[in-house]
Amino acid sequence: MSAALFLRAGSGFALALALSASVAAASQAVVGLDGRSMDPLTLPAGVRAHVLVFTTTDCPISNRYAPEITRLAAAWAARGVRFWVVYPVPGDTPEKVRAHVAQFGVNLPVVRDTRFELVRRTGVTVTPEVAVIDATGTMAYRGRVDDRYVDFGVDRPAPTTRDLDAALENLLAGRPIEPKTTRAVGCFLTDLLK
Amino acid sequence: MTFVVTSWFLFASSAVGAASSPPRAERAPVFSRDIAPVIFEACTPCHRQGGPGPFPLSSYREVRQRATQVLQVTHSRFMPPWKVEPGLGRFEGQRPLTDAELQMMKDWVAAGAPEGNPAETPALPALPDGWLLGTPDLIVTLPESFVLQAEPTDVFRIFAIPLPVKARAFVRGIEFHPGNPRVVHHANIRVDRTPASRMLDAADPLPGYDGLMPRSAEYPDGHFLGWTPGQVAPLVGPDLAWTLEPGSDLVVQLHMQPSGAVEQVKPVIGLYFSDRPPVRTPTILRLGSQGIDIPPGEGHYVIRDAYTLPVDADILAIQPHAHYRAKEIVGTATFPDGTSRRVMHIRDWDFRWQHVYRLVEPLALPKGTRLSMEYTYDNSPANVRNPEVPPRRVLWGQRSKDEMGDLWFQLLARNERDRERLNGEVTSKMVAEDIIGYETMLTVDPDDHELHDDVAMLYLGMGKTADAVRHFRASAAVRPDSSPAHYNLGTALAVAGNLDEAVAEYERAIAINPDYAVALANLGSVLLQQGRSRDALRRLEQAARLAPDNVEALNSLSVAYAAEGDIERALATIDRALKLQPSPAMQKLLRQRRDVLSR
Repeated sequence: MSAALFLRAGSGFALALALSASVAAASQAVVGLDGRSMDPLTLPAGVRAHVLVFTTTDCPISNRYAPEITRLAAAWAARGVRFWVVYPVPGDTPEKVRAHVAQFGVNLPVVRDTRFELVRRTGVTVTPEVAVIDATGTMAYRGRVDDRYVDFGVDRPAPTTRDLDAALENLLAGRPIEPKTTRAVGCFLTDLLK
Repeated sequence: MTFVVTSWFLFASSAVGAASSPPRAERAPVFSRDIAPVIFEACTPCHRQGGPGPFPLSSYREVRQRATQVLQVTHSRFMPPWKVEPGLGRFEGQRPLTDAELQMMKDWVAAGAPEGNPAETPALPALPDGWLLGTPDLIVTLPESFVLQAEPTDVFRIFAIPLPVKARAFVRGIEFHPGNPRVVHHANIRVDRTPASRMLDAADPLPGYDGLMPRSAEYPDGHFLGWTPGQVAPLVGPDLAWTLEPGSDLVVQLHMQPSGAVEQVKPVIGLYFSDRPPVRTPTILRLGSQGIDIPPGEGHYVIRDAYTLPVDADILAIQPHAHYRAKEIVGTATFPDGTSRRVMHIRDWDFRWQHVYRLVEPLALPKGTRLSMEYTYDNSPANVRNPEVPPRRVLWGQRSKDEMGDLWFQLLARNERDRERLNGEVTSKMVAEDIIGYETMLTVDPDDHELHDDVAMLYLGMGKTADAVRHFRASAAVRPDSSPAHYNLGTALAVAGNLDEAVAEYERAIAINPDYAVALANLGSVLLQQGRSRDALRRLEQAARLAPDNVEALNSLSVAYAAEGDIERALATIDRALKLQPSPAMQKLLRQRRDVLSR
């Protein structure tokens, strides 16, 4: 499947993504902090899933999830799941991102996606939002980490549903993931894509 | 999110009336001419570099980049943060967006958020980084930062900050700088003229302490203090200033929301003084119920309270207060002629936006006006803010897991006589409600001796000695090894006229702490009342030795000497007491006794 399908710019790109479709495609646009290109959509042998966590340096909701993401990444590492933190905002320079991960204690692989390659292929619309890629390069889940945030300024003291956790559990057990997408609450990426 | 272009035509056609209207095609809103003036006035004061907003909205680029988000939060009226329903009169700091402005933003985003001619963009409003009210007369801060952990949820921390004034000062206002606007969400501020808050703060090795403010931390002279993002209370006129006594502490309770990173928090507070004493003092009326007891799952629980003004008064400001389960808040003024108006109405109460609502024009209420409140609570799982899942029974209490329901009014009576009348009535009303609150909390924590002590003091102040004795007895039963507990019980028993038991309790206090001067002094005084002057003398001599400056002990001692026939020592003791410059009433008493004994 070519990347072109997912690049229907400006026309509801989020809906254009077929969830069962493979999202894998090598690209030069996704880079690590050292500027070298990286491909979190292709899983090395032995890795059972990738979780892409989309964030920005200045989204308060996203930042509040940093400890939870760190915890989930540590908990799933032993079961062959790797977490990646994706910064799509061009203004989040490598320097800003380095300072950000240091401040929030995030010790995970980081990529910058300033040409929105990963944003478009996964169809995420806000930060924080996660996408789970399985061993075949297919997106298995996209949406919120959990249901803690209901809306801007409306949040539960603790989540009652942990969607990402459940999706990974089901994926690794070979069970269907339901729902495959959820609505994440956070800072919109939409305006960056226009 | 997709916006159809038809909405833009709707807006355009509604604007066609004006003679100078440009052709329709040119009416699409642009940032420079249409959007910037609204954003710069309503959003930028907080959303700017260094402001309390999480990101700046001070240029086309910054607003364009977040256009969808700006649109969503303004349409849901989450931003600008203003919880009060429209139509209740004008409040300080209120900047609601009009429906026309919201429509214009929608049209702007639908049109692709164009910039327009950058030359038309208005200048940013002058927003100084420093003090908005001018250079303060006194600036205080914490000696060291409080370290807020990265998670999990909201933290409440109380700090006692000394106010180093050498002489009495008169305060026209304060300006609060959160120090770390990313995490400080709001501040409750009181003034404590006693060391109580300071001692609680000192007992916790880290800056500040967890728990509750003591009763002695109060709104000073009828003035609300506090801070929410974007609000700076204007200075009051010199005639309304509040009095700051030397040795007072500012007590600041910070409500903090973790950011996801470890954060340093060090607020800075500026005080502004007046050069002369005030001539008028407001009165604070608190309506509410402290008998709140909501069953689990109850989705519609209502409390009500009301008070009828005995004098004419103006409402200067209103502050609602409740926790996470409150849903709707209504305050009403019903005038003597039977007409009424809403003075406060919040449909979707949010604990995180605790404004003080200051009226731009004071609202005049004639004598006989009934002020009332009605709050509705949702303790069902449908309330996403409910801190207990599944819901549990919730009672009144000051901790955020408990529930509260207060509607505070700042009232200004027309003259001093009216103020005294209003103050007296309002104080008794609030103390009576406070007692209900303590009894409610004690049903949850029957062994909390501090609650027993506090409510016993209130009962004692009201002259309800039997209730005071009951609670001090419960407190002493919880901590039988505490000498103050037995001392308190002894004193309440003495006031109640139960002298034999009072003696026994004082004896217990002294058995635990033989150098307990006030207990010895009170015991001596009770023994005198019982006619046991020899026993009294022994105790009072001990008391006067331990506390040579205790005028009451010396007074009782002089009576004991006289009763035992030692007139010389009695007179010498009176002179000793007079040298300590006691109160005028005590001086008169001592002089009268000296005259009688000298004859």
